[in-house]
Amino acid sequence: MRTFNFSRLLNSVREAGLDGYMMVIGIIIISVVLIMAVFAEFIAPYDPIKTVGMPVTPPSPEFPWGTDTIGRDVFSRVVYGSRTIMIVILMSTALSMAVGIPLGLLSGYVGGLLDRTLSLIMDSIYAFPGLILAIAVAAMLGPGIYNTSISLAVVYIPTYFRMVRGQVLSLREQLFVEAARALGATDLRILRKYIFPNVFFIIAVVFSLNVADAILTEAGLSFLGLSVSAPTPDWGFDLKNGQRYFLSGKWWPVVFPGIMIILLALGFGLLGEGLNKILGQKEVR
Amino acid sequence: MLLEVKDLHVYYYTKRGVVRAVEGVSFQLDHAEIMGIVGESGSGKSTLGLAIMNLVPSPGRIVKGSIRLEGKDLTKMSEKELRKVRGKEVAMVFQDPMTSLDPLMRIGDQIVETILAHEDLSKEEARKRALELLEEVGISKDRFNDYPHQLSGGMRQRVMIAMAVSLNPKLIIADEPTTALDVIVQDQIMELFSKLRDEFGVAIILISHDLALELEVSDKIGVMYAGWLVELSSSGELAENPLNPYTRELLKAIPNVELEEQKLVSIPGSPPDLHDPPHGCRFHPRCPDAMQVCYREEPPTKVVDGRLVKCWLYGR
Amino acid sequence: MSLRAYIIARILMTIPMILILLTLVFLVMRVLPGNPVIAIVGMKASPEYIKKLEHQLGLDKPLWQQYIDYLADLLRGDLGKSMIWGKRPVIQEIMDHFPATLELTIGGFLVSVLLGLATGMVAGIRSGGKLDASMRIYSIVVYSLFIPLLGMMLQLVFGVWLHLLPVGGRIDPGLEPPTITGLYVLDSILSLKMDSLANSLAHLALPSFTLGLVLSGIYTRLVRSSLIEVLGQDFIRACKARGLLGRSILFKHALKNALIPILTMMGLQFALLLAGAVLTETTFSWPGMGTFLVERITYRDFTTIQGSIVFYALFVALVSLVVDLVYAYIDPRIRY
Ligand SMILES: Nc1ncnc2c1ncn2[C@@H]1O[C@H](COP(=O)(O)OP(=O)(O)OP(=O)(O)O)[C@@H](O)[C@H]1O
Ligand SMILES: [Mg+2]
Repeated sequence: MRTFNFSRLLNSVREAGLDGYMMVIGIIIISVVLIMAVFAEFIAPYDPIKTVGMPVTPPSPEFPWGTDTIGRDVFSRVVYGSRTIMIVILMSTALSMAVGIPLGLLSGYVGGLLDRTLSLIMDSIYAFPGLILAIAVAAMLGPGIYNTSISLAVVYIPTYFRMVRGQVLSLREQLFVEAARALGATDLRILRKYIFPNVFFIIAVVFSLNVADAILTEAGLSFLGLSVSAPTPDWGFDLKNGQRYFLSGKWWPVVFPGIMIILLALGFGLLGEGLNKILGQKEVR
Repeated sequence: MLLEVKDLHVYYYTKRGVVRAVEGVSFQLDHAEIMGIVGESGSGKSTLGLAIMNLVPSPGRIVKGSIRLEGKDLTKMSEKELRKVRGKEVAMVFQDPMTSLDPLMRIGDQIVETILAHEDLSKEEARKRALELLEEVGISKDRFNDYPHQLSGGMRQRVMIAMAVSLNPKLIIADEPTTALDVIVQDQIMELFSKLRDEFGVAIILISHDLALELEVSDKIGVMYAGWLVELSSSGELAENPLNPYTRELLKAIPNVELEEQKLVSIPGSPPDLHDPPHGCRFHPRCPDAMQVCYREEPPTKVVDGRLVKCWLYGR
Repeated sequence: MSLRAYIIARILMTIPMILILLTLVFLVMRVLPGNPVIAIVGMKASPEYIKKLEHQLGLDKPLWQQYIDYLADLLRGDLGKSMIWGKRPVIQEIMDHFPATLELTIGGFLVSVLLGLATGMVAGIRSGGKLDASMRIYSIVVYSLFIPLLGMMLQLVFGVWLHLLPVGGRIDPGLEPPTITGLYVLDSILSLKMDSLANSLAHLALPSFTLGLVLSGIYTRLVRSSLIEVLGQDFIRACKARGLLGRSILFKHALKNALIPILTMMGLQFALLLAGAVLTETTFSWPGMGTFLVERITYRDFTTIQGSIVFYALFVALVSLVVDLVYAYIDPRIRY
């Protein structure tokens, strides 16, 4: 097991064609941002919340990505900002999953009035514009990492709910569940042994695509000033701060955090897309 | 002569390999003649029908052979020339009338559209013609503005036929036109075809897996097996004296009303996978008369008493 | 089912959805941990002042009573009064800002549909090929474009560098057309003021393009997959066998059939447009609901925030209703 067969992995990626490459590029982007987030202390040359130079200094050897409107190092803020967004995304996704998945399983499996009520509620939330719902919750909860995570979580609960419920419904019809039931398996065992593993793959895909969306929503919230509070480095908020100098040609406080938002969202989008096709094809085979 | 198909080969280039759906098929058809094509599922009947219109769907392709309609070779025509043949000179009626009409367009408009695509008429004239056609196939005029889903299966197939005859084609290819319909409707549709032939001199290629039906309406019948045309003769001779063992087996499989015990005999075994057909004669694994040579070599197509047969029983 | 019965059933179905959304808004605004009043005035306000405000907003009543009052007020079309600046009725404030959002949303919608149709059709017709793959990447990339950054880039290029288009606002002061619908483009046309029309269109261009480009990727996919499905159907082959022109098969038959399933998803697309519009408005100083809502959040104008969210909820429900009714009207199969 120790000799990891790299060429075989490369081969299977190549075989998957465009989807394989998309997945790999996605994973690379996500890994880079994760490394930035985990090792921010070692990567960032400056303290992200300290003024270390003149305001809006263009990129130079001293400040590779320039300084922001109050003289903080843009590169260091971007590096630490990856930590902020990653924490928020992880917490909010965990929360939406923790609520959405069990409810979806329950709703799909039990059916009846409970299912209809829950579905109606979830569909209504789903139909509501996500960012605006997050804005409402964030406005009431106030700024901060935890509150932002909750605001985002509320938006994405229905996605996980709907996906899991749909899967359970279709799998429920399938024969093997019937067979297991006939053999006297308890309901809980059916859920755990047969339904959940099948749902798992779909969750991986929906997770990636959902996170891509959540990143844009988080960045949007913080661009509107409704995410974490002031000195914390946060891509969307930093971009907003740089906006008033942008049109006079001082692009660096805006472009660097902006590109990072796009890249990270793209990373998860590519990963999800690739996974979807590759896993989907496996199913057919 | 209306149609002459010569040595036609149609292959599908799929991911799993090449499917030789039609191989070495030749036949001729006269004006006002009805020719039946029978064979089991997957024997290449539909592919042959589509090939005659040069409409084989990708990944399929006509790889060899010619299709001459009154002398002009359809395999060598440009898309633009083909468009003038399709619908105008050769029309097609498909198996499933539910899915062969545009669900979002009124049936009358679909007929009008077909007419206008080929003839320089005013909308009003085309509309008048469409109304006449509907009447002709037995659908009342006030159905003109109905959508396909408002009609029954039989009515929809009549609409398809109205559309097919709307431009007085010389040839209609009907691919299992009644398979999706019940028996009474089937008889009515067949009568309609006979009438079209008698009154307008249309030639018809009637594709079906139902040999009994073919025997009733066709002048001559081509039997297909695994992409090959294994026998071609007049209906009477074919029923009297089948040359190919496969035809014989097909005839045996027809449920006989006169026999007391009405058991449905089917030919033992199943048709081959065309990705990897059997070596030699493709029918040999199921053939009661198989000989040594059948395992080794493809049989030649011979002319026996003016009939075509592809079988080793008739020599080299 | 007749069309009328369908319409009535569909309208009735909207009621639970609206009720759920309204309840959701109520829960978010009142029950979420934290006292809205403290959220409004901050921790340091005196207890008496907080009491007074609570009473004024009816927050000292029991929760169920608040809920009933809230629904009853809504039923009367009363969204309360703003807590700042002249304390105007919230509904009036909304009506001042909503047309701007509607105009932007329509603009963004048109751009996204046009781009999505073009790219999706290319991908669908050439499915499996290089163009298809490019369009797939287009749809993923475009969706990841962060609206504020994209908007600012366009401002820089088309506003500052090329001097082609204004970088913000809805119209130059003084050129406003008389208010008829509140949509400047439409009002300019109705009142035949060509300079207003040109000016408002110029202002609309960049924001609409920003919003539309980002959302077009979704249509690319929808159009592509729907078109591929339709092109594989029997009636398309039947159309070819009838000798119809390739062009008319594509546009008259394939595309029309392909658009029907897309239409059913328009409601959800519209929610995305509204959400995207908030960011677009903020980027382009577009005086719509989004900038308005965010501004009132910074002023902690509680009633206006609640009213705006309620308004969004009602609007979303209305749009999904209209989409379904249009669908019923267009697809003949649904009526019977
Ligand atoms: N689009 C396609 N792609 C690949 N292979 C195909 C395609 N269409 C048909 N084939 C293959 O070509 C062979 C002949 O098919 P065809 O549909 O012509 O048979 P058929 O005689 O009409 O059968 P049926 O009675 O079922 O309609 C079959 O083996 C089939 O699997
Ligand atoms: Mg067939």
